[in-house]
Amino acid sequence: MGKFILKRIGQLILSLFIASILVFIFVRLSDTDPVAVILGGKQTSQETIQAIKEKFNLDKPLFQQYLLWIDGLFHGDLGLSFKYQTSINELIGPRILTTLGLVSASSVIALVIAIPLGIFCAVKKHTLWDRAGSIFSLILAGCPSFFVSILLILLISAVAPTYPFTGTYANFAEYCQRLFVPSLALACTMIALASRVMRSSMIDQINAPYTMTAVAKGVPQSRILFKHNMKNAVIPVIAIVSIQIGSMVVGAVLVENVFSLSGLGSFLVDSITSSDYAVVQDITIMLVFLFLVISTLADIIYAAIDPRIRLK
Amino acid sequence: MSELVQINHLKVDLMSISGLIHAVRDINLTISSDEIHGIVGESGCGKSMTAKSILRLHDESKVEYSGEILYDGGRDILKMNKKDLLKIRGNDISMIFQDPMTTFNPLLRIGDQISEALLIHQKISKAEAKERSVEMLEKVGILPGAARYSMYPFEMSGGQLQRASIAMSLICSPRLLIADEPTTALDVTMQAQILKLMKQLQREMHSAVLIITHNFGVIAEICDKVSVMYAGQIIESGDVRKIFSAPCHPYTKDLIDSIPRSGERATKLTSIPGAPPKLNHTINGCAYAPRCKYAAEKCCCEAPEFRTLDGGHRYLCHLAHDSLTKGGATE
Repeated sequence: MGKFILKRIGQLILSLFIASILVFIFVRLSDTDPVAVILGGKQTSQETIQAIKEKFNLDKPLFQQYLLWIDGLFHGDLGLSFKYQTSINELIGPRILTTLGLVSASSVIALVIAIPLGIFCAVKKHTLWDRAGSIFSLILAGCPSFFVSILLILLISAVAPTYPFTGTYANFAEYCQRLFVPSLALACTMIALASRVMRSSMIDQINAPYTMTAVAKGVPQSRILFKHNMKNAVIPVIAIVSIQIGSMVVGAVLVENVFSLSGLGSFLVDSITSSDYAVVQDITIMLVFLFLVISTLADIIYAAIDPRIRLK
Repeated sequence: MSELVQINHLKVDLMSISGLIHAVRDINLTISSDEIHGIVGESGCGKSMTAKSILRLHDESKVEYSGEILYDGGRDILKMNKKDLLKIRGNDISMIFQDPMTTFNPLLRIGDQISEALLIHQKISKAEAKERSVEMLEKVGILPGAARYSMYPFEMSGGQLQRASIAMSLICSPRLLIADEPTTALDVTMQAQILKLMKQLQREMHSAVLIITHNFGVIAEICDKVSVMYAGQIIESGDVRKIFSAPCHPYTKDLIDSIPRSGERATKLTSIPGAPPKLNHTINGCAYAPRCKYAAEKCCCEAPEFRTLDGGHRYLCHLAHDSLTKGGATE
């Protein structure tokens, strides 16, 4: 298992390295001149331009620029924003907190709802309960998250008008309070997807021959479901969830906008429209890192569950 | 020898998309303790349905039972509540399935799956259960038991897995072991080994065995008694040797004749022409009549009744056969 984890981490570092080169090159393929962005359209002298180039390392060869960027990343220094001309660390810090909080909270909410729902529908297969579950999932899957956000806002304003779900936060309790409703809105798609996958894979497991062996052994139904079937059934759910979490980071933009939270996604979109490529490359590489970490984690969870992956 | 399981007028109806299928139509079968009883027949004749009914393994939202299955001279398994049923499954009556590769949960250790039955049915500690499971593994020839205990199913071969599943089914010393085509998925040498092992363990543990197969060779090798099934009915049953040497039902004879024999260099394998009838409607007359060489006029429209010979040998036919091997029907 240790060897397996080390191998996966090695692969993660290699992928991250390749991605960093690609991100760096693609950002530089743009025909927008960074100096123009930094100046924001103002007229200026040649000396000032030279000074700007030096400040942002734009006078150095590309290879050196890349090395400086990577070196900065290793030291936790994300460089300077073209547009704001301040440290990107300060700009991104609170936004990461918001987005990561939003994404992890909605993943947890989604799994807590989807897995029991999937099991329930599988056990009650083809009954009215199962149909109701299917319809519920279809509605959730069909509703865009911003629409659910608006509905939730309407609902909360009517039911609990004093509940504070927008604005900034000062401490952890407030942070959780602000993020709860947006997380719920963001979780919808994942609840729908994960519960459908859980249902069908649970049905497969209930019909698997080994389940009949367990029944013939005299194992009670609840123990068969939770000890034998669930472990097998959860494997495809991990796959779908790990992919979904990645796209949630960007998808969070819509929810962040509705709840006027400033997150990573909206900052990325802003930076692209204002051609602030220093920020674009930082956020992109962070998203790549996040994707890789999640898929590595998913692989490690697979291996922990399934001996065929761990031992082969 | 006492009657361990007595099946009376068992009917199993299966709800399917194409309507109700009468998979098992009124069978009577007695399994005595200490005997190896075989059920033989073509695919789809209801032999596996019958076997699974004894433990009520069918999805009861799709299957309807009628008749009774009396266990140990009294309690009807078909009317038992869930709690009592769970106590019988695996402890009093256990089962081995056809495909050893899919019998085990792929994610759990072989040993843990064997001791699970012990832990459910008996009040013993985990360590004790493990000890007994290791012993059982060694008994079925999986050596060294302690090391194999912690292996996963994918690390073992088909033959080993079938041995392990025998160990799993015998761990609670059941009084009846139902083996549903236990050797069908194995190669021929492995088949012989598994049959030998089953016979040896049956002698040691004094349990009854009900073996389901489509292979008359398997029956000849280990069974004491045999019931031949056709179209959801038992059409002949009795002592294996008697039935082998002098089958009375034309179907049994045709089935025995279609076993390929070594030594003879036949140009063509003997087979029974035609196919068994569909089971979604009632059958008038004898189910085998359309394929039967000896069929008389009344066979097609009048249901035959059992004829009984010495030693519990009985067969379902209109015609009284002295012995079909001596040729022809009398009457």
